[in-house]
Amino acid sequence: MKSIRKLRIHPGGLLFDTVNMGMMLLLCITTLYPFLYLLTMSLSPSDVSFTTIKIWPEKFTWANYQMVFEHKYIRSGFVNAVIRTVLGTLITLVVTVSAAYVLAKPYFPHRKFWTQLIVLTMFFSGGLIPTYLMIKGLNLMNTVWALVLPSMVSAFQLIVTRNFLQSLPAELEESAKIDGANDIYILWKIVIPLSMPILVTLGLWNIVFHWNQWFDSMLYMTRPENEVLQVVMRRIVLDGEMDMLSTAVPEMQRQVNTETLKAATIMFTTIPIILIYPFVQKYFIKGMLVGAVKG
Amino acid sequence: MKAAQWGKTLLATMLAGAMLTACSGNENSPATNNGNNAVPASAEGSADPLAKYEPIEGKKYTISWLPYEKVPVPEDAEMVKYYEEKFNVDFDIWNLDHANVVELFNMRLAAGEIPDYNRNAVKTNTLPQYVDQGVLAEIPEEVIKKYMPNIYENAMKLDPNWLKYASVDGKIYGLPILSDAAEFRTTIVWRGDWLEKVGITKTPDTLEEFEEAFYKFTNEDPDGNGVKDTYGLSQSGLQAIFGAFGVLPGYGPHKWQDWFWMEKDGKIVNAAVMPEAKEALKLLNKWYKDGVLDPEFITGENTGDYWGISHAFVNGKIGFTGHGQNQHWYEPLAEIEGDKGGRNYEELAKKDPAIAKSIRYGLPPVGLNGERTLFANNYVDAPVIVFGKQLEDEPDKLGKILQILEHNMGTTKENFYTANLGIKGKHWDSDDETLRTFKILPPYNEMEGNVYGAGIFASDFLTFTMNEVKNEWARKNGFSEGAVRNKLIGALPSDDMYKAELIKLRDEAYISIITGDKPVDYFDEFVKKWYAAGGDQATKEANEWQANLTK
Repeated sequence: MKSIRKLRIHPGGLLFDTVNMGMMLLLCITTLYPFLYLLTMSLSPSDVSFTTIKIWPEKFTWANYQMVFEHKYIRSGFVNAVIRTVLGTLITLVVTVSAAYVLAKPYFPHRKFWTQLIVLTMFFSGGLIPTYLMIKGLNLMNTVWALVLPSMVSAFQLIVTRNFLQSLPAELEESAKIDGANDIYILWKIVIPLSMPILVTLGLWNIVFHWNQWFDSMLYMTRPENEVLQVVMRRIVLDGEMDMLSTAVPEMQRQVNTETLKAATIMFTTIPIILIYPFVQKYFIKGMLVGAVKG
Repeated sequence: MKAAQWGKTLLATMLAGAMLTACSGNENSPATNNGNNAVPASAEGSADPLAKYEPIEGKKYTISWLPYEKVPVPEDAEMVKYYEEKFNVDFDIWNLDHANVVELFNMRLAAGEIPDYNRNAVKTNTLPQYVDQGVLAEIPEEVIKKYMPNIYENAMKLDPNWLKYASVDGKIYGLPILSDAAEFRTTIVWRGDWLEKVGITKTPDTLEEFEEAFYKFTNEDPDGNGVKDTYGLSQSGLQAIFGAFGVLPGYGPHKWQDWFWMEKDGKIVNAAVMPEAKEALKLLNKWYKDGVLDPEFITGENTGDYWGISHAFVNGKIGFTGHGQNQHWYEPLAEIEGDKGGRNYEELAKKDPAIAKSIRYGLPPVGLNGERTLFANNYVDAPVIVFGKQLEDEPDKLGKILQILEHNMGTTKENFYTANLGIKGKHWDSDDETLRTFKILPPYNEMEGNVYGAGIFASDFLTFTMNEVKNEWARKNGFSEGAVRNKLIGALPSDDMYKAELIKLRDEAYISIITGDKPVDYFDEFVKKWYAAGGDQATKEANEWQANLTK
């Protein structure tokens, strides 16, 4: 408190604060404006003109959201997206933490070799076509596993988690061992409760990744009822957009989706993921730092 | 140390493994579809070489079908079942997302899968590369003639070179799609209320009248707000002005107009370097200096949103535009129930219905040579229907597919409508016998047709059209007058190397001349640069292409 009062005495400091706050406000507005514009659009009936900028709805309606909720494939897409997000995140957490726990042990045989093997995958991947052939060959097409298994372990996340686990004091474990606990018990009762920051960070990374991912769904899902929300949303938003690369004659096609419906669909796909952030923010910042410090 | 060695060995093994997988995938490809090779043995030796294309009576074909689709088609879609029963076939519909269709198609090819019928992934300019890869089947012209008689006859009437646009080394590999949007030139649209306000009663018709209107729009405050904030024209209006000088250099908002070739003294020349363009640029430079040309012409009239909207026009900044096509501007037609008109008309009406009503649809200015000149598309649209290589071993299946196409697009208007819209009386209906107008019945009017399978067994050969009423309106309003078409169709072999660079050169030169950064005489230097940067080669190839066509 005192330090703030002191600052007020210096006109230079005051000026800096004012400019700083002004810049920050401007930054906030530029970030918020597109969001607000879409929100307004999604709450307006389609007969309002949006050729000029608007931030408050002239007329108000829920009709767009009603249409979104009644859309067959938005519903199924939402369910599919939730399933892949929950399943994918859980699998990733379990596998990543287990592997990292093992690799964090200094007495693990050939530890360096296994770590390097994993790091190798950060630089080389199978590529699009071989991956597609494999998914097809394993009969995973049109199943949720095609979306979850290829991204099950990320080498980067694994290394970050390993580094975090290495930073836990070994004495904790030794004392538990003396009390007769086995490795699984130690992992479950001691290591995991201490690792909440990194777990939440991993969780958030994967939730966001799975929620936003659409390309794999487009590759592996050949039936509309299996597609994830992002694919459905993308298609609705792109309706009426011309393929600018082609030299084709502009199409004379019936456009079903109005701009206001498009806006409502975008809001519907964005809001769930935005809602998660405030709850995990504090862990997230902590986790990022803790994992990064020790190399 | 040891670990590093290990890593290297392992890496090598993994890479080799990855390559093997990729290669073996390719090698599999021709074998995948050879299952039922049912060419009648007698056909080979018989006198009629077309006999082997005759579909076998009673045989149930399985056809893999890659349609043009906006949304994916469910497996049990009503129209898929309808046509499976009707033609006694099994359709395996490939749902490849339209926005990424080329990428997805290439991936399937690499995995050794080729669709029998493909309406969406190949265009006239990419066709040669797929022929080189050996994934497309050849179709003899006689076969098309025999199994698609009506479509063939009508298409050849519209453009005798129809099939040549899908030919490589004299062999036909596909059926180019024809588009009825090509009948009409781009637009000439005036703010009628502004014209009246500045005292012009007759819609401008000559270049002088155009100029007069533009100057009045700029100087006489047509929107009456007391501020000089209006302009005569912006980016999309430029084409009409170039047209008045008898040249269409393609500089404007729409990519499909970019690469325009015209005929001069028996040769084809890229319009961007024709000397007439210099005269037009001189005039535009003057207009720019006088504030008649919107200084934001460089970024264009559309500021996001749907591409066909001219925001500058709708928001009352300019009084003249050439943006989009007639379907973006037409007035609500009484014959179509609940019609709101083109997107621009609709947007204007949202602001003020009186302004929308005042729109005037003009003609391109009469040029110095006494003719009107404005861009129009060619009938041959870029997409080509192609067939999988495996059909060369199954000519009877190819015959069957061609029969299906003829039935849906070449026989009767009702069959055509059924393929496009669904079943009459259920998905759509019409009050008159001739099917001039139709309406889509609820609840289907708020759905994408693909969801129940409508449209995926249809394509366009212009034997029939769905847009009869709108086309009539466009004809009545002069949209077919002054239409000038590109002399070059399809791609040149050197496009990959030079085209983008040449278009960029043109844009830079035009913009700097109009804005006065460079003097008008810079045009001559630009022409030299253009030819040196690959224009020579492109011009040579374009003329060879034309010589081949007329051969």
